[in-house]
Amino acid sequence: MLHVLFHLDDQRYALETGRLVEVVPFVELRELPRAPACVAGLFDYRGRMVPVIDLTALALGRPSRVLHSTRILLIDYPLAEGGSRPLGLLAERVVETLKLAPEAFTDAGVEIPEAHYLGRVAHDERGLLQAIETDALLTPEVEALLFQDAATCS
Amino acid sequence: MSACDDKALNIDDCWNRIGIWRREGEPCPRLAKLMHCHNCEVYSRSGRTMLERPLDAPVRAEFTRIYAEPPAAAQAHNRAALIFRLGDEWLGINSRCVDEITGARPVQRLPHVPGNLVKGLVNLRGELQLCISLGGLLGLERGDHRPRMGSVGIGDRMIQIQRDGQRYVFPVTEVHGLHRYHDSELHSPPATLSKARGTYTRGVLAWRELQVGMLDDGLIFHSLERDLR
Repeated sequence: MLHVLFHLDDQRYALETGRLVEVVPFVELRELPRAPACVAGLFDYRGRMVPVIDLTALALGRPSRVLHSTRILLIDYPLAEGGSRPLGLLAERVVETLKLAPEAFTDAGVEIPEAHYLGRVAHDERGLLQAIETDALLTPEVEALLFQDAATCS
Repeated sequence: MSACDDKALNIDDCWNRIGIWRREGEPCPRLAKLMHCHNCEVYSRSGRTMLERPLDAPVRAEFTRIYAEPPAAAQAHNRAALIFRLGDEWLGINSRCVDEITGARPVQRLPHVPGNLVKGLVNLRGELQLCISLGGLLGLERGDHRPRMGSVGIGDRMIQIQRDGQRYVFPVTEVHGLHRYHDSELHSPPATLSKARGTYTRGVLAWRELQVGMLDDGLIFHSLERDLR
């Protein structure tokens, strides 16, 4: 399975490309006042307003830097009540892909209650990397907020 | 010094100093094994580091404008095909079923296999794959297999196609590359096309003053599975 890699500080993380629609540069975002800090804002993707979650803010508590290598991973996010909506994941150092077999991943053995989205762990010649589970990325409150707002804006 | 300057990013351009683009002096010890800096991890890592530059506001505004454009232009091409030449024929196959393109490999012939469909076995990355003759399947005449002067692609390749675990390799005269197109650009194959070819062709696409036959990959896999059982 093909994975696109990104970094949280110096650590590598992998997103499986099955739900990936497109890798978009860090375009200008329209901020949503009073939204949780991990919600970077909305962007106009071909006429449709798409919410963007900042993975750096979500995991490290600081916003992603505005660099060429900071990119929006546009995924088709499955909604809890069925169906799916486009969602942008802003991440730093999105500069490479890696093919990893499903059996290359093993359970991390650690489950952090605030970070269910951190999934299984694999390693290659450059060390460990951890998968991101997109299904567990949003809390129900954030999910309800984002996709209700997006519907009224579009 | 601008932020885009190589020195601001601490990139050591060793490829200019001791690598393939050095003017003089002793080469890098890695070069003997890797042959070219393109194959070196240091070189590719430096390339990625170049992307650690700040995204300037005008560039960012331009990206924003491009991505906000309506989808009409973006959806003009909904399919991608790998275009290649087999003898005298230019053909295209759905890029989704193409696994790998390699240089020509020796084909180990199989005894007691009649017919003109199976060429033998080829070794691809240590795995033996069945090498077939696409021309044999399509009923093509043996054409001009010499590389052409000023031709657009790279010559003498093997293409591996794969679907649902079925893998086949077939040699082609040259490979052009990927071409994106829309279904509406496909014309029905001319009635003069031989029966076998017509069957395996989804349509004909005009490409660079040439007529490219777009192959029906589903039917090809189906026929190969049936004929090779």
